[in-house]
Amino acid sequence: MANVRKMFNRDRWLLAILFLILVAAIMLMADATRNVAYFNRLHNWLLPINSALLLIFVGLIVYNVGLLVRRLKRQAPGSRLTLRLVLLFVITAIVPVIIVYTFSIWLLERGVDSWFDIEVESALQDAVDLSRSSLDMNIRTLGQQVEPLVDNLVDIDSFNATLAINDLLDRTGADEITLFDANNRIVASGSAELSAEVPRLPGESILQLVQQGENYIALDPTESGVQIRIIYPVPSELPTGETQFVQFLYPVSDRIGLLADNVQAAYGQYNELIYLRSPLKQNFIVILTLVLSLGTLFAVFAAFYWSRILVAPIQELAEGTKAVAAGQYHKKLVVPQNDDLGMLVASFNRMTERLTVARDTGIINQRIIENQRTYLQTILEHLSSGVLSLDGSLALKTINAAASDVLHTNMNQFLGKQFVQIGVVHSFLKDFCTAVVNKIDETSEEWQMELEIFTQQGSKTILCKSVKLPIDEQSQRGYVLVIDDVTTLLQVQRDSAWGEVARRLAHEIKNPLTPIQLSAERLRNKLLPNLAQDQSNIVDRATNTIVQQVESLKLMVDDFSDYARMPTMEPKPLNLNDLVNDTVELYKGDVENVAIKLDLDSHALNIRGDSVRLRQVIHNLVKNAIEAMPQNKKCIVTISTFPFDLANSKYAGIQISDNGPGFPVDVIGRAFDPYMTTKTKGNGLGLAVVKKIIEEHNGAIQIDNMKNQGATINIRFPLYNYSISNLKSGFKKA
Amino acid sequence: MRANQLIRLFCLFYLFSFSSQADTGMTIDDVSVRILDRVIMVDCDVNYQVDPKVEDALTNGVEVAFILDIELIEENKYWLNKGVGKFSYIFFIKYHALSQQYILKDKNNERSFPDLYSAFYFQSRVKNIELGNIDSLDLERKYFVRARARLASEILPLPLRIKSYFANEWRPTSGWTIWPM
Repeated sequence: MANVRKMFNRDRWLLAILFLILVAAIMLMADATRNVAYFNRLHNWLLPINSALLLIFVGLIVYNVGLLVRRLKRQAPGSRLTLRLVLLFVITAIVPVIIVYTFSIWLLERGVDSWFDIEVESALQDAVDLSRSSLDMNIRTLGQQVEPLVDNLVDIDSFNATLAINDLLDRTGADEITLFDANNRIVASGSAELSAEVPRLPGESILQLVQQGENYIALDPTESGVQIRIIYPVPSELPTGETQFVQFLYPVSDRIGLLADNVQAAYGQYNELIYLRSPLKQNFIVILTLVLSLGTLFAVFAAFYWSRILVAPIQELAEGTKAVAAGQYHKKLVVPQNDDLGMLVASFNRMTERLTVARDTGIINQRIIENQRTYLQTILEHLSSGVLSLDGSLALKTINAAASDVLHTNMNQFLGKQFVQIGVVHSFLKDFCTAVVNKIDETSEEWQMELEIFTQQGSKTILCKSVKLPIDEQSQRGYVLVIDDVTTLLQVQRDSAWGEVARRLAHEIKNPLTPIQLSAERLRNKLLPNLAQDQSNIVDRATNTIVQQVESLKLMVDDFSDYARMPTMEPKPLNLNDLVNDTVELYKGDVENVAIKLDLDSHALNIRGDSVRLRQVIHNLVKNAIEAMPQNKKCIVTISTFPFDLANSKYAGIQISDNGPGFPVDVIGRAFDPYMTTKTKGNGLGLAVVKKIIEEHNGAIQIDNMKNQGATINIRFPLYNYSISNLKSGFKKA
Repeated sequence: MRANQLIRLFCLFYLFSFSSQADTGMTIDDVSVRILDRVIMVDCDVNYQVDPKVEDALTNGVEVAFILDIELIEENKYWLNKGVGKFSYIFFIKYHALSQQYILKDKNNERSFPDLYSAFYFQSRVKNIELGNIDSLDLERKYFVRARARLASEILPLPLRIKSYFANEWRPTSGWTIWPM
C-alpha cells in the first residue's frame, strides 16, 4: 500500500506539472492567434513544446494502457472497474471536445475569411491599375518627347556624344542619359546631378530585347522608389558602324513616387495576406487540433490517474477480502481518506480484527475440544466395555474397539448403517439387535438388560445399558449403548456359589452320614439274628441299601470336597513336555480304542507347578475326550506343546484336540460349570476341577469346536526361564 | 512490441518527417577552386529552380529568400569532418506589382528583372569566393569543397514556414554537392 501511495503521489505531481505546461502551451497558442506577427515570434517555441507534450502524453497513455492490459490479463482485482471508469472518463471528455473542435473549425473558417474584404481587394487592384495607367501615360509622353532626339546620337564619336548627351539632358529633363554599345559598354553618359554614381545599365534580358530593335519603355523599381527607364536603339548609318543604345532615366515626381510606393506596398501586403489566408487557416486548424489533442490526451491520462485513485481502495478491499477468504486475517488496509470508501475500509479492518479474535478463540476452543475428544477416545478405546452411539434414526455413529470384541464381529463395517442391519448380516446377533431396538422404542429413559448371544465359541451373556443423549438439537439426538461381556463375571460368580455349595454340602451332609451308616450296620447286627427269616431278609436288604446309599453319598461329598477345598499346591519347576509324556503313558496300553499323537516342542517348556495336579488336568481332559467318543469308534487325541508370546508375556501352550463330536453350542459357554455334563455317567465336576487347577497355576483354558469335527482345548501356563528366540505368537489354533 | 519501442519509432518518424528535404532540380553545376595570392578562391555555377507553387507565391507578393552555402572541409577518417572555411550568401526575390518586375536584393545591391528566370540567371554564377588561406591547411590531409543552394524556408512567412515542414515543394535544395580539392 505504501508503494501504491508513493506511485499516486508521483503521478499527482506529474499530472500537476503536465497540466501547468499544457495550460502554458494553450495560453501561448491563444496569444499567438491574436495576430500573425505575434504568432511568428512564438512559433519557434510553440511547435517544439506542443510536440514534446504530445509525445509525453502519448507515451504516458501507451504506458498506462499497457499496465491496464497486463492487469486485465492477470484478472487483477479492480482492473475491469478501472477499464470501465477510464472508458467513461474518456467518452465524457471526447464528446464535448469533438463538438468544440467542429464549432471552432467553423468559426476559424469564418473568422479568417472575415479579415479580408473583396471590395478592398478590388479597390487595391484598381489603385494599382490606375497608378500603372497614370505612369504609362507619363512614360508614353516622355517616349514621344525623346524619340525624335535620338537621331542626334547616330554615329557620333564619344567626345561629341558627351556634349550631345549634356544637350539632351537640358532638353529632355532626364535624370540620366547613357549611350552604350551592344556589349553593354558605356560610350558616353551624363547626369543631371553632379554627384551622380556610375550609370545604371540595364540587365541582360532588357539588353537582349533592345538588341532585337525593340524600344524599352518601362517603370523601373529602385531602392528609393520607382524611375522611368527608356531605351532606344541608335542604329548606325555607316556600313561598318554598330548599333548603339541610349537609355533615358527619368525620376518620378516625389508625390507620384510616394503614392506609387504606398499603392505598391499596400497592394503587395494585402495580396500576400490573401495568398497566405489558406495556409494560415490550415495552420490555425493544425494548432487547434494540436491543442485539443493535447487536451484530450491529458484528459485520457487524467482518466487513468483518477480511475486508479478511485479504484485503489476497492482494489485494496478486494485483495483484503481475498486474503481473508484465504484465512489471512492479519491483513490490514490503510484507510485512504475520510470518505465513504475510507469508512468502508475502516469497517473492513474492524471486521478482520474481530475475525482474528474469533478465529483465535475458535482455534483455542477447537484444541480444547480436540484434547477432550482425544481424552475420551483414549478412554473409550481402552475400555473393556463396548460403547456404541446411535443417531436419532438408530444408525450406528461411533463405536470403540471393545464393541467389536464383545459382539464378536467387526463393527466398523456397520458405521453409518442401521443398527438392525448387524442382526441381518450376523444371525447370532439378530435377537440382540431386535431386543435393543425394541427397548429403545419402548422407553426414552435409561435402561439396562442382560442378553444372551450364541457364538461359535458358545453362549455369551451381554449386559447392555442405554441412555438417551441429552441434546436438544434434532440432528444431534441419539443414544449411547454400553455393552459388557459379563459371561466370565457370571462364571466366576457361579464358581464361587458352587464352591460355597460344595463346602456346605461337604460339611452339612458328610457329618451325619457316618452315624447313619454306623446306625444302620448296628441295627442290622443287633436285629438280624433275632428276626424271622422273612423279616430278617427285609432288614438285611434295607440296611444294605442304607449303607450303599451312604457310601454313594460319601463319594459324592468327597467329590464336592475336592472341588471346594482350598489349594494346597507345592509348585516346582517342571518340563511340560515331560509331564505330557508321563501322563499319556497310562493310555498306551489301550491301543484298540485310543490313539494319542504327540507334537511336542523340541525345547524344554519349563513352568512352575504341582506335577500331581497338572497330571490330573491332562488325565481329565484325555479321559473326557475318550468318554465323549461314541462306541465302536477309535478315539484319536492329539497333544501338542509350544511356547508363545502374548501381551509381552511368555507362555507355554498345550493344545488337546480330538476327533469326537465336539461340545454342543448351548453348553460350550458353561462347560466349566459344576454339574454341567452331557454324559450319562459322571457328576459334571471334571472340567470344573480342571479349570480350577489351571487357574491355581495362573494359567488359562479355552474350549473351541473345530470346524470339521472334534473339540480343541487350549491351555497356557506362564513360562519359567525360557529363551525368547524360541517363542511363537498367540495360541496355536485348531 | 513493447511500448517504449513504439515510442522510439514514433520519434524517429516524427524527426525524419521534418528533416527530409526535396530534391527539386535545383543543382550545383560546377565548383572551381583556384589559389590566388595564397588565398583559396572558389567560383560556383548554380542552377536555381523552384516549384510553380513558389512562383505563384512570389507573384502574389511573398518574398522568398535563397541561400548558397559553400564550405571547405577537412576530411577525417576516424571522426567527424572539420569545416575550415565557410561562405554563405543570401539573396531575396520579391515581385513588384506596379512595375511588374522581380526585385532581387542582397546585402549590397538591389536589381530588378522583368521575369524570375532573369533574376535566377543573374545569380547563377558566383565568383571569387574566398574560403581562407592556403597556409592554414595541413597539406598532409585531404580537403574537399562542398556547396548547397536552397530556398530558405525558415525565412518564409509563418503560414508557409509551417507548411514547408510538411510539403517538399517549399523546401527545394540542391543538396550538398562535393568537389575534391
